Amino acid sequence: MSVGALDTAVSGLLAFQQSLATTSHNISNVNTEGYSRQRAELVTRPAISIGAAGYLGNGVRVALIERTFDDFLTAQLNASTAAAGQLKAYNELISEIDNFIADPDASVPNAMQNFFGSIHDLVNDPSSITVRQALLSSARTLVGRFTTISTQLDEIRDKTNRAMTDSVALINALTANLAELNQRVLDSRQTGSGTGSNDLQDQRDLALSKLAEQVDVQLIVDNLGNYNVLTSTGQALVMASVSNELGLTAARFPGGPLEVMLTPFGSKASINISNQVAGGALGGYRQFIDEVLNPVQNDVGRIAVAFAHQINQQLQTGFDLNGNPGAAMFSEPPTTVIASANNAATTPPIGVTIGNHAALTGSDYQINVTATGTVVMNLRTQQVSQFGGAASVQFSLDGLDFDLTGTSVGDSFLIQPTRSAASGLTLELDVINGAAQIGAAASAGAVGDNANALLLAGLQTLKTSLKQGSYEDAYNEVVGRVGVLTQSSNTDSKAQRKLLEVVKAQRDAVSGVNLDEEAANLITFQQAYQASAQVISIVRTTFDALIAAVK
Amino acid sequence: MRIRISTLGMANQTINSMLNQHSQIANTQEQLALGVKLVRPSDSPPAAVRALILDESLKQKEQYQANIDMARGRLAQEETVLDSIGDVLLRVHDLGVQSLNAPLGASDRDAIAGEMRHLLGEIGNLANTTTATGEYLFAGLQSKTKPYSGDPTNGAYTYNGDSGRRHTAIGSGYNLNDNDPGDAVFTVVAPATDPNAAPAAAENIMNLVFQFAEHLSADQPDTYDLARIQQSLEAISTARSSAGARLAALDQQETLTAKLTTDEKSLLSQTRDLDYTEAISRLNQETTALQAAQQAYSKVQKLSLFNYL
Repeated sequence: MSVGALDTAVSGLLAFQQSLATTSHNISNVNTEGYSRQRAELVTRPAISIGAAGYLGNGVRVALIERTFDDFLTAQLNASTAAAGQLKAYNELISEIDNFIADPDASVPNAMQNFFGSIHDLVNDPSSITVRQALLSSARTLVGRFTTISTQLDEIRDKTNRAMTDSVALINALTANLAELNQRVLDSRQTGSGTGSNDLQDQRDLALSKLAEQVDVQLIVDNLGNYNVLTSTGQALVMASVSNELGLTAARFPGGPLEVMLTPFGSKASINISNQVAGGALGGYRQFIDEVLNPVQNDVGRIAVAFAHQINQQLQTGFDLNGNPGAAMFSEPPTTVIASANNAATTPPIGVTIGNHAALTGSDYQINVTATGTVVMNLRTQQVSQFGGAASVQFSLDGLDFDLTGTSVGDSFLIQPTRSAASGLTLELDVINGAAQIGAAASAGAVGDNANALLLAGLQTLKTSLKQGSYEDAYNEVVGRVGVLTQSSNTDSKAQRKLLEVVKAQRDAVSGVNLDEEAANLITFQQAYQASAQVISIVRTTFDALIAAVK
Repeated sequence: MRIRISTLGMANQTINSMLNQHSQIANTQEQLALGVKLVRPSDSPPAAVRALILDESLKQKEQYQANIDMARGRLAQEETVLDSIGDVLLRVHDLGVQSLNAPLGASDRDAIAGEMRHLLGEIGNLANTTTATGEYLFAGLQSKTKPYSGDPTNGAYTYNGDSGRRHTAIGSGYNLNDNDPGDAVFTVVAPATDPNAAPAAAENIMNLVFQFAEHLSADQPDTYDLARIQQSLEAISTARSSAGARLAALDQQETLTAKLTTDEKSLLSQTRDLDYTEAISRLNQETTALQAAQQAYSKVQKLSLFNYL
């Protein structure tokens, strides 16, 4: 009987020691990211039969160190994390554009107004060289503004591309980590008890949550307990202990947009999954580029090239101080055409020129030459236009004239009509020596003639210069669009942050460590431990009494 | 109601709430520092665009006002010069009356002719007046070409300018003519009853005065000469009232521009400028909220069962 009591007390000591150790582990990890609190689950040991009297209790043992974890909440947390990651990446970048696009000291409208102010000065004093030089000087400032805006947008593009590269590198590191953790969890399950290492599983869940920050993923747990991770559209990233590498390249259209490539494990060929990447920071960067950066840069370029062309055209119908036809004041930057690296070797450069500046849309286009005709996709609206049979090589669309002479079936081209127009805009007349060449007069040889200058001044308010009206109308439209997108992104990311906080709090309510609770547990286990120790002491005294009696 | 809250979660929640308060305070501070409520387009996209449009419109009105000032300068100068020419012509007219009416001898008439030639010189100079920017006032679009050659001794005044008129924009879609070419101001078409004039011949005022002086020098006074001076006076007077009418139009447009400018400025201010009272009381509220969050944090942080173990 007394041996049984001693053994039972020792089982209590051991069990409470382990409970205390678990509590201590919880306290130590109170600040560990992704940690799920653990508790030692106690069960009675198998009882001993004492015949007719029934069974005698035989103490306690730790059945399981349980991880307090909720699959549903974790999945919800990962989804919210992906959405928040996307909004955060998008919001940070669009806020940068929001910061400078309407800054009066840096943006186009002020300089544009000063330029037209100088034209009015020319109207008032058409033969003055000084007034003409002042006009060219404000033209130079305006060109500078276009260049500055474009440079800032280029810097943001570089930054976004770098962030995408970092994100893809992080995704690769995390998927490799997940594959490794799958293996280690499996190993721990086989060597230890059936549930496997709690801490390794926490690490695996944390890696998955970090991955969700970068890209939206779906999780499929197989019957061995492996985490199989897929993109939201079903491209496998992690299968058991194997991960598939992502890459980022502009190989198809050199100098064009970076595309996300997936190289399946053990394979050399990679597939383009750009359109299947959504959510997370990577999704946010792509959304920013497609929805904000490209349209804004294209639209600013469109305003620049239409302005340059229309001012030039008006100047060239006039006459300068020497009675010669007026000179062009600005360069008119050409369209950007990128031929696919996979095009036939015989394919010559194709021609894409602006035929009607007022009809330009600010979209980029992708051209695919097929056996049944030329397919042109507007990359902003996803609208597809098809031109004629295979023989149709010359056509016009959205103010652009295309000439595809010499192309072969299978060729494709990326057209960015006005992407680099704002950065490519230059002043063609020398500020000092070019002054006389401004065509202010409508009739040759009349130095006091300001009629053409007056027509130039009228271009400021002409409502047919661009699709959205005047140059400033079109610029205001860009400002308004950036403002609306930023505002809604501010609201969305605030709401999503709030939602994420709520889901995190729900997850923490289940899995997080509460120090007061642990302190209470410490006391409980300590008391139980002391009680068990006391039992041992009493058993000993009992023995002593017995031995003394026998002596 | 959550049953358990994790220690880390509780700390994070309080920290997040303080971060939010900080960012709100930073926003309000930025608005106060700049004195505007629209710092970025996203603060209110419609208002931001409205502010840009108003800015543009005000800039244009400023430009129209500058154009009005320039046009007023030119037209006022033209008016003054035409006034002077009118005065001189009146003197010529007086001399003409005197030469026709009084019983004068050849030498008297020659003396009057001499004075007339002197006055003609003045008219010639006035017709060749230049503006503040160095352009000839009456040369049409040939503003760097001296409009009238010829001199009081030999006559033969010829117009070297052209018939071009200049305009300047003084309002949206409102272009105003701010010069009158010499051939429009100084040319008189002789009436058909004038026996000495070729049918419908147009002649400039200077040559008419010269012709009068020539007739007087030759002691052959011609009553039609006086009629022609009378006609010249009328021509100058017509040109002067035309310039005056345009000056009046400028004044009207200026009043309109000023009124629109005031309206738009007040609208722009409402759209963009900060209501300081509101912003400062908002800042007070936000700092109070932050202080409360900080106090709550420090109080809650002190609570721990471990303190009692």
